[in-house]
Amino acid sequence: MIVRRVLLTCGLLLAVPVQAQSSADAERAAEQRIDAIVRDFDRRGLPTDLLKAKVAEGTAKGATPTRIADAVALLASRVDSVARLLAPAATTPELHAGAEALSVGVSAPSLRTLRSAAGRRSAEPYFLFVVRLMRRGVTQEQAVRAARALIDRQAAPNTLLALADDLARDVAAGVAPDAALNDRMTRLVGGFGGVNSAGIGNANGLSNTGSKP
Amino acid sequence: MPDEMPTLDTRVDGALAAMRQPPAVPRDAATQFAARAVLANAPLARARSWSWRAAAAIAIVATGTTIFTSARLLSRSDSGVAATVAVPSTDADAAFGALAVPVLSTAARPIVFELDAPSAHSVQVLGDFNRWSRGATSMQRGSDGHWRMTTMLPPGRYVYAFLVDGRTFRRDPLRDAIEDRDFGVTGSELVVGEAP
Repeated sequence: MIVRRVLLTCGLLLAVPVQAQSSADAERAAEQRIDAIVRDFDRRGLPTDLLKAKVAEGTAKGATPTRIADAVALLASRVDSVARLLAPAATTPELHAGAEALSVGVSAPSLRTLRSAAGRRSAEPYFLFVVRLMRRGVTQEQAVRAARALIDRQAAPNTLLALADDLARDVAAGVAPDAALNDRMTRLVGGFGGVNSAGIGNANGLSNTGSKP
Repeated sequence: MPDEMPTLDTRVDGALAAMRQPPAVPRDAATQFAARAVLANAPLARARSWSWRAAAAIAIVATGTTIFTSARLLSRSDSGVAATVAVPSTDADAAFGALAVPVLSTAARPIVFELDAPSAHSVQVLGDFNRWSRGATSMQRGSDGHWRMTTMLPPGRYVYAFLVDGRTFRRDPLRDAIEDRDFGVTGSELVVGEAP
């Protein structure tokens, strides 16, 4: 019995430093990983602010270094994808909003379509508009089509904001998301080829791939 | 007659040249006049100023009405051409229908944060806008138990959360919840529009 207690104590005494060592190693590895990602972004001329903000967020929320590194790597991957999609030039807000759009399931072709349609204007408000709509349950196809219609009519960002707010209220009141969008768009711009408008299909060049089921 | 033409031209040119010359005003007199007009607030200058302002106001109203009508017609048409419109209303119909000014400001706007937490000892706002920095943005407790804070934010999308008593994160019940797949702390989303 005594021998067992002694062995157990010794085991615990040895285990604590080993665990601390492995924790320190993991922390160091996570830091090195983050550092490598940030340096890679910096070298390629991509904005590092977004990555640093993610580190700050994780730190403030008490996440482990490994988890923070995972989050930074995921964000970097999305920003990198958006940067390639929107090449040759994209602003930091566009990259950020594009990464957010990818995270909710917006497809690459849809992002490219919106960026192209926006022309000289920033695509950020349109990306965020689609994100907000999809978060409310609107399908990607409908959300992108609505954004495209609003771009064509040169709707101001505040109009997009107001429309997304209206739709949120409709959905909260029990209206089906796509139907609510169709109704709002009909009132706003006289329709956009939404759920009740047959025959529009892909006429506006939007992709149907990656739509939410 | 041909002999008189150069003479006439010369005289006309001379007269025109004389008319183009500014009237000769002594330097001191001009300075004194300007000083009197500005410092003594001369009634004549004031009257001119008011009449000018009235004319300008009428012109602005007329121009605004024209732009308003045109934009409204264009934005409602199906021609695919529309004016750029924006108002701070939360109603999109109104945003398209009621034209404010077609030039929007990207300047920061005052944004109010509020949380009902009567038993809390401290509440902070942490978010994208302050780099999730603890202690950067503390809220003030009102006598009604509501914690409030106003900060200036430029247009954009922000994610944030309240930190209550330095240890518990809470989302803003007044704004959209945003799932945090990275760290598991549900926050809130704020989208700041452009100031009209």
